Amino acid sequence: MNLALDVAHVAANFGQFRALNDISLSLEAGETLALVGANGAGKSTFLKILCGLVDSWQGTVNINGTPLKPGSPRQSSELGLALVPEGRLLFESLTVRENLMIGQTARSGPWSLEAIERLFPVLKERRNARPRELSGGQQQMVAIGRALASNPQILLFDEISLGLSPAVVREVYDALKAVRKEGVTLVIVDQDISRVCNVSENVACFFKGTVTHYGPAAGMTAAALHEAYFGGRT
Amino acid sequence: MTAAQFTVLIFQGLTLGGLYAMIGAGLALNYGILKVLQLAHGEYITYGAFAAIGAIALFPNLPFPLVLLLAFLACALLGAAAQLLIVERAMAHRNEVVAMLVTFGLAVVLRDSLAEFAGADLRGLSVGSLAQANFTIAGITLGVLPLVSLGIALTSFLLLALLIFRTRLGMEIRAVSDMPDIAALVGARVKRTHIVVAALSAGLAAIAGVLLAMRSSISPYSGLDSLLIAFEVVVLGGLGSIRGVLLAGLLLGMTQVISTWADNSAGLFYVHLVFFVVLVFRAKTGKLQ
Repeated sequence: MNLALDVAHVAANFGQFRALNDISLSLEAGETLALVGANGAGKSTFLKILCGLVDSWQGTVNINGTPLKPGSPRQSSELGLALVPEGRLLFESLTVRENLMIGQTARSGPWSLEAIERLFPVLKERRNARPRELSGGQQQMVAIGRALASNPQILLFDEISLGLSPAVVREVYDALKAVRKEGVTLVIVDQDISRVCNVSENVACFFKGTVTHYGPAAGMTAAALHEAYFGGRT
Repeated sequence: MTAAQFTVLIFQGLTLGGLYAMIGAGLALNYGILKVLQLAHGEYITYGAFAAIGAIALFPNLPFPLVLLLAFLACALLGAAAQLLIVERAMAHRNEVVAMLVTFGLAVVLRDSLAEFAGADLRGLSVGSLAQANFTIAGITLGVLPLVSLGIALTSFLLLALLIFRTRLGMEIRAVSDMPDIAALVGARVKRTHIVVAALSAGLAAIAGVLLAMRSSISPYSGLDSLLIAFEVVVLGGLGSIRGVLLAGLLLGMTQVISTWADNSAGLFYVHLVFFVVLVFRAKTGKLQ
């Protein structure tokens, strides 16, 4: 089995608060994992650990077989991981085009700037605009484009549809199909559970820092997911 | 006042303003990108001047552009070393006050080291016949040295703007300034970027120091006066804006020249007054940032 991401017994504390407890997951290359759970369940903390944005945590994380060091976002980037963060977090001092360019790394792959602009044509039209001049949907496209520009092997989405109109959410999910075709491993956090489960092979449900359900998304009943969402183990 | 006198006054204001803008440029860059108020900035200016004075003492026939380059490189190296060994570690605390206090300590040590090893005497940078050279346009006689000084300042600003807004390094610098963590996640080398910015800031300070020493005498204790001007330029210019710093420098330079023309004993009083009035106005309107 070719594991893109292997997470074993990961735990993290913020002061006295136990944010994550004994998280174990593994993703094969090209797999899509839906990460669901209520606010404060630990999903974003988990993604931040993978991105090197948390300085101290316990357990082990291997990305394509290489152990991840805590607190090193650059190492995460070098290992082929990219993040589309909650709230987009675009560089306001950079134009749209520059936001895409800054994402480029030495890693080659299908996602040239032209390919990204074909995926989201509006980014070509607004290439000289500043992020604050864009709509929320356009900003999300820049954030996805910036992440794709690094030709990632693992792409993480934190709250992919938060604050977006239904039409834009559809457009973003349509774009994900093209990304999946290229064999990128995806981890998607979304509050729209049915939509995210529809595009995922597996689903993990977080509750108060623990995984209450982890298994195939297909065949997952609404009742089982509902129970896991509120803390029942399924 | 005749038209000729007015033209000379404007010219003097522009040249002094260019120097003030140069004095503030490095501090603005450092604060704008690293979010560290570098209190050793005045010392970098002094070290730049002394590096040039020392280079000319050792090699009297050294061409001036090389003197400028040597001073720039010497201070850039000093700035990079200080960032790598001292300031970067203080920045890890993510507390602006901690980093600022460390730069205060650095300023004191740099100042006293220079006084110890170079002596506390006032020095000037001899530029030979350039000091007296002048030219006449439409019956108005202007000095060559101030023009050279203004040219160096404007060229430095142009190169800085090109670096920040037209290069990949500049793009990384702006991204690191916006969000260091996210910049690192997209592959930017945050620490290296900090060191480059610190080196560039100190190098710009060195150029300002050379221009200052061409114009007036300087001692190891001149850093504080330079820092005061730099601070006023940076605050007026909008805490980190390159264009703002240039405009603020020109405003303060013009203010000093005009006020000195009106009142020969005014010194820097009206410069500080303009700074204070703008500061109060900005504070009242909530536009201090």
